[in-house]
Amino acid sequence: MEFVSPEGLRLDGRRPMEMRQLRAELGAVSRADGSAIFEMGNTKVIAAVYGPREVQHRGQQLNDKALIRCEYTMANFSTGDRMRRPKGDRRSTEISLVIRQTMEACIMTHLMPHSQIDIFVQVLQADGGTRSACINAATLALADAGIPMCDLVTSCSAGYLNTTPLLDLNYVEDSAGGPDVTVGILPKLDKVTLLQMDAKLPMDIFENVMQLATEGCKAVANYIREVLMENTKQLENRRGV
Amino acid sequence: MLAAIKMEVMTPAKETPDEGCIAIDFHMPAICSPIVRPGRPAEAAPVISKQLSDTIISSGMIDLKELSLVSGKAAWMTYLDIYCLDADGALFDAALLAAAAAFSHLQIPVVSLNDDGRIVVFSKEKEGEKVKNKPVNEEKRKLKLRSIPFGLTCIIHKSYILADPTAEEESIMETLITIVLDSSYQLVSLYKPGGPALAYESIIQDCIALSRQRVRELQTILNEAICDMEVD
Repeated sequence: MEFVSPEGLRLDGRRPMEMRQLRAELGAVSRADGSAIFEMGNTKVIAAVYGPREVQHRGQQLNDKALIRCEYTMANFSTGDRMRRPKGDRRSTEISLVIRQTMEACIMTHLMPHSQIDIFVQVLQADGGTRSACINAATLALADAGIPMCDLVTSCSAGYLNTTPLLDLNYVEDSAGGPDVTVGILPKLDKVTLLQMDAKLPMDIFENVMQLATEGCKAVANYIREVLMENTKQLENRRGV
Repeated sequence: MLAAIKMEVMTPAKETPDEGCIAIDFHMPAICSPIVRPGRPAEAAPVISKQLSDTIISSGMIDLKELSLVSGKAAWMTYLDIYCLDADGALFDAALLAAAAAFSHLQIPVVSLNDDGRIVVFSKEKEGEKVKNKPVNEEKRKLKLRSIPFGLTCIIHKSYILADPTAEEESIMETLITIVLDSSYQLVSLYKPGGPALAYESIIQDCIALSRQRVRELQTILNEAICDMEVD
């Protein structure tokens, strides 16, 4: 099956180096301490952060830093066929762990000992790249909650089909069986926190694809910074500054 | 609230070969409220799920015969999933409104019966090939909703009736009453799940009067939303 036409257009009309349209909204859940909706093309994800608050299981309390908990769930209607078990299946548990470890790298947990920070991510519409969208949404939600972080975490995926590196795969391209590289970086510090890949890829092509994904992450970071600046300006207006 | 409907094809039950089926489920994921924890699901979720199911099916909003495809062989199974994204009181009212809106928006896709006796999505792009399989329905159609139910929850605190409570108000309440009226102001359901406060008849009459007002407001809002969507 042809994923890149001879003119260089993908199935949804994008160029190989083009990302899908990004859209973000802060403060979607009023009951949460921080929340955000993040869309990458058709993939739509909502994240809510509760914390820092009292640790729920005394036994798990950490005396020198905050405990971070993360849960990734998909809505029943998020994928093409209705899912029966959206929670507790292996993929969800794995992604929950991945998101938790990625966020732990950037949250300054030593500032909030004896407390717990809960990050809940719900996928409302899945069209490839849910892992990346969840990490971006979690970053925005943590910023909305005012939790101290040393840098933003942004994530993007890239693949390699028809001998072309492609940025930001959607569901059809992802299920084609080619390699899928997901990268999560701290943009200002230029450090990689998350790097996952499946399927086989020669080393030199891998470097290209990873470079492409990193560029994608930087683009997401710029967009997130704009959204946060806009939000801060609105808060200033409301306070009458 | 976010409500979504997914449809699947199934074989209808023997006693009702001409009717489809509706399954309604209400979820409260952990994002909606600080009291919901991942290990322990909210108590309110299955209760509201059952309430919604009973109300929608008993109000006769949807004629199940419209969900039939081929009598005795194939019918639509409709799954309605409502996700609470932000829980701030009166969840049942919001969920009922979301369900009504979702059903108003629903468009049944065009399908046809192929040679193996299975239902497939009807595609018009067959050039040169004769269209062997006639579609079961000619075009995407919408469900005809009869009387749409709207609900109002009131709480009784000391001698006051507070309509449409927030989560904070619900946490200190003594008793709640939920009244569901349909668009012709007929009483569909009345729900008062115990509680220390006894409701005198006058209080119930007052609640019903408040619900009548509410039905008018909600109907205007729902109609506006449907018109906006049709313009798109």
